[in-house]
Amino acid sequence: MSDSNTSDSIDRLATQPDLDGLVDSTKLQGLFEKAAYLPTKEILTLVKLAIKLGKPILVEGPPGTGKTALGLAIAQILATDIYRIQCYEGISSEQVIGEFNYQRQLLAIESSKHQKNQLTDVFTPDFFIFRPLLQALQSEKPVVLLIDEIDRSDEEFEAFLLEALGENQVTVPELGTIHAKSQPVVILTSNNSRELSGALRRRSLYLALDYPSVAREAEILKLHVPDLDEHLTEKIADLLRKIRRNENISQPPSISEGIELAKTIAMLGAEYLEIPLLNELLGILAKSGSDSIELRKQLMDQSTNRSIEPSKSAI
Amino acid sequence: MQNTTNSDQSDLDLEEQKPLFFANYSILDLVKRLRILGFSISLTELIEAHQLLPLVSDIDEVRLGLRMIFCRSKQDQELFNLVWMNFYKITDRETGRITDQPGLQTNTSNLNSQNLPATAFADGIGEQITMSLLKISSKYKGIVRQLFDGNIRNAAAIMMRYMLIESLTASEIMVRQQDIREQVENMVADAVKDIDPDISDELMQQLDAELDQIIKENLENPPRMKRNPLKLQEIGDIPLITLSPSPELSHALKVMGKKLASKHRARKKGNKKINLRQTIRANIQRGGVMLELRKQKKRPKKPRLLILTDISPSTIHATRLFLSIIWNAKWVYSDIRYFEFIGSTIDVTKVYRRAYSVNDGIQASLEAWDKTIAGKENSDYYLAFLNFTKMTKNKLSKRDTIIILGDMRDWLGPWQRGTPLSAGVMGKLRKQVKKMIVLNPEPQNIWDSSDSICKYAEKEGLEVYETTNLNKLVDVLLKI
Repeated sequence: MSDSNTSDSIDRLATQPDLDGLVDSTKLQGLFEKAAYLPTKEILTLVKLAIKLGKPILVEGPPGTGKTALGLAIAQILATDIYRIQCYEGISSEQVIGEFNYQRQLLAIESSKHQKNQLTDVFTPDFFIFRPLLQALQSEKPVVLLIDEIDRSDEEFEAFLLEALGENQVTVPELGTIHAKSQPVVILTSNNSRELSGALRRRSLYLALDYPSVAREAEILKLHVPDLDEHLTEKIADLLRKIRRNENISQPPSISEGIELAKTIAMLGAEYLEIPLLNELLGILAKSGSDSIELRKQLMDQSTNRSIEPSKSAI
Repeated sequence: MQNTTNSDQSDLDLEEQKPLFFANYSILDLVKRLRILGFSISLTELIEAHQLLPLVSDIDEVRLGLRMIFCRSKQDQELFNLVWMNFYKITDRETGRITDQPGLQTNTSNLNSQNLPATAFADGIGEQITMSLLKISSKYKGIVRQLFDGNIRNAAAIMMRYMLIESLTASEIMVRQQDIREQVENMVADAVKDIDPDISDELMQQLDAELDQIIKENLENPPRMKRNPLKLQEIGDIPLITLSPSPELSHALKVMGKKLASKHRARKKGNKKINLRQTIRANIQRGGVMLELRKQKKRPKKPRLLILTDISPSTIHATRLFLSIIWNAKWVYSDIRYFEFIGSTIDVTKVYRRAYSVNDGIQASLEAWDKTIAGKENSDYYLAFLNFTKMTKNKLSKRDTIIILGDMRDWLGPWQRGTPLSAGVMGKLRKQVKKMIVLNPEPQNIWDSSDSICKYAEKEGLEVYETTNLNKLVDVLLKI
C-alpha cells in the first residue's frame, strides 16, 4: 500500500485537549486536588504548557516521588483515557506500535486461493494489531500517554520514540506514516538510572521531582488521610524525611508508602507515633532485610536521643 | 464587590506587565546568555518560549515555564536560576538606575543588593567613588571600575585573565586569585567607606559568584580549545603523570571519552539468532514459504560498573584523568556507582550524579571524603575492601564489573604467611561479579616490589593492567 493511500485512510486531525478552564491556575489546582494530587506551581505551569505546546513532559526523579501519579492525575483532570507503556530492557517498537497479525494474514491468503477475487494485499490496517502508542495517536479524543521508566529501555527504543514524540506520527514501513488524530498528552518518567539522549530531552518539557519538604508532605498526607490528627500527620512527614536522609537505607520510603503508613495509623486509631507500633508497621516502609534492620536501629537511636513523652516511647 | 475590583485591577496590572517583561527582557537576550553557558537552544524552543506568554499569570510562572523549555537536567535548572537572577534587572537608561520591575517578584534573596552601586551613582555619590579610584595606582583598578559600573561579569572576566597570566598550575591560579581578590576588596572598601561600607561585601559576593561561574564555563567549554586543540595521537602515549591539567587536556579527554563510547556502541559481529518475527514478515509475501532468513541484530552489552578510585596522592592525578574519560562515556554503561578509597571506602555516587562536570564531582567527592573519613590518608586495601564488601553486601551480581584504579600498594594492610589479607577479600568479591579489573598507573617493571599486591590480586582472578598512558587506559576500558 502506498503512502498516500494510507494518509487518506488514516485521517490527519490534530485536536488538542480543551485548554479552557486549565489556564486559570486556581481552577487547575482545584482539579488536581480533586484527583488527589497536590501540585506545585511548577507542575501547574508545566501542565498548561504541555497542553498548549503539545510537547511531551519528561519527569525525572528518584522512585516514589509521584512521577507516575502525576500522569494519572492529569488523565483524571482531562477526564480522558490513559494509555500506559511500562518500559523495560529489551522493549521493542512492535510492542508499543503494534504488529501484523501473521496468523490472520496466512488464513486470509489460504482462503483467498479458493475464491474468485484474489487477495492482493495483506499489509493493510485490517491485519494490524494496534498497541498503546498507536492507539493513543489514533484516538479521536485526546488521551494521556504515560511512558513509564523510559530509562530502563534501550537507546534504540528511545530513538524510535523521537518520531512519535516530536512529530506526533509513527511510520510503519508497510502502512506508511500514520499521523495522530488527536494530540495526546505524553508523560515520560525516568528514575535517572541512565543518561537519556539529548534528542529526547530537547523534545520534552523538563521537570525534576524530588521528595517533598516536610510541610508539603504533611499537606499531601492530609489530602489523602483527612481523618488523621494534624499533629500526627506532621510527625509522620518528619519521620519520613529523617528516614530518607539515612544514607544506609537503600530504598527510601516513597510518598505513597508514607500515605499507606498514615492510613494504617488512622485505621488503628493510634494517638502517638510509638516505637512499638512503628516496629510493627515497619514492613510498610522498609522493603528489604537490611533496610528493615537499619530502620529499626534508626528508630531506637531517635527514641533514645530525644526527650520522650513520659511513659511513652513515642517520637 | 471590592474583591472583584481588586482582581480586575491585578488582571490589568498583569496585562501591563507581560508586554513590559518581553519588551525589556528580551528572550533573545536571555537565550544568548544561556547559550554562552552551554545550553543548546533551538529555534523551535525559542518560538515555544514566546508562546508561553498567554499562559502565564505571573513572573514566577514565566521563569518556571522558560526553565522547563530550556533545561534538560537538574544541573541545567540550577544554572538557569543563576542566570535568571542576574538577568532579572532592568537598567533605566534615563536615570542610570537599576530597578526591579514593580510587582515582578522572584525568589532571589540578593536581588536588591544588585542596585546598590547604581543607586549610589544616581545620587551623585558616583563622582565621589570616581575621585577615590583616581587616587589609587593599581593594575587591578579596572576590575574595581567595572564592579562600580555594575558590569560584574566584565570585572570577573578581567580578574580571570590576571589569574591566568604567568600561572602554570591550578594551585598557582588559586594563589593568584586570593592575592588579586584581597587587593580588589581593599580598593572597593576604601572607595565606599564614607558612603556605605556594606556595599563592599555585596559587590565582592557578586564578584565571587560571577568568577565561579566563569571558572565553571571555562572547565566546560575551554575558550582556547579552538585555537590550540590537543591531538589525541600526541597525548596518547605520554605518561599520565606528566600530563598537567589544562582546558586543552579536559577537551581532549572529552573527545577521548566520546570515542570510547562510540567504540562501545559499535555492534560486534558474531553468531546471530534468527529473528522469527521478521522472518515471517519477510516471507509472508510468498504465502508463508520460508525462503529468506532474517537474523537478530546483536544488542550491545551494557555493563554495570562499580568504580573504585584510589585518591591517595600517588594516584589522584591518574584518577582524575580516568574519571574524565569515563564521565564522557558514561551513557554507554547501564549504571555507574562511584567509590573512593585510601584507608577506608566511601560511596560517592550521589555526589557524582549531582555534579555539573567531572571536576565538580571530584572536588565535591573529596570534600565528602574529608567530612567522613578524614585522617585515613594511608593506603589500606584490606580495610578499604572490607568496607566496600559491607557496602555492597547482597547487591553484587554477575552483571557487575568492578574497576579499581590504584597502584595496588597496600601500605597498612595486614599480611599473613607472606600473603596480604586484602587479596583474599578481593578474591571473594571477584567471585560475585562478572569481572574485576585493576588499572595500575605504575609501570609494570616496578610491580611486585615492596608492598605491591599485584601478583596476589592476579592469583585471586583479578585482571591487572598497566595504564601508564591514555592509550593503554582506553584499550583496557574497551575490554569491559
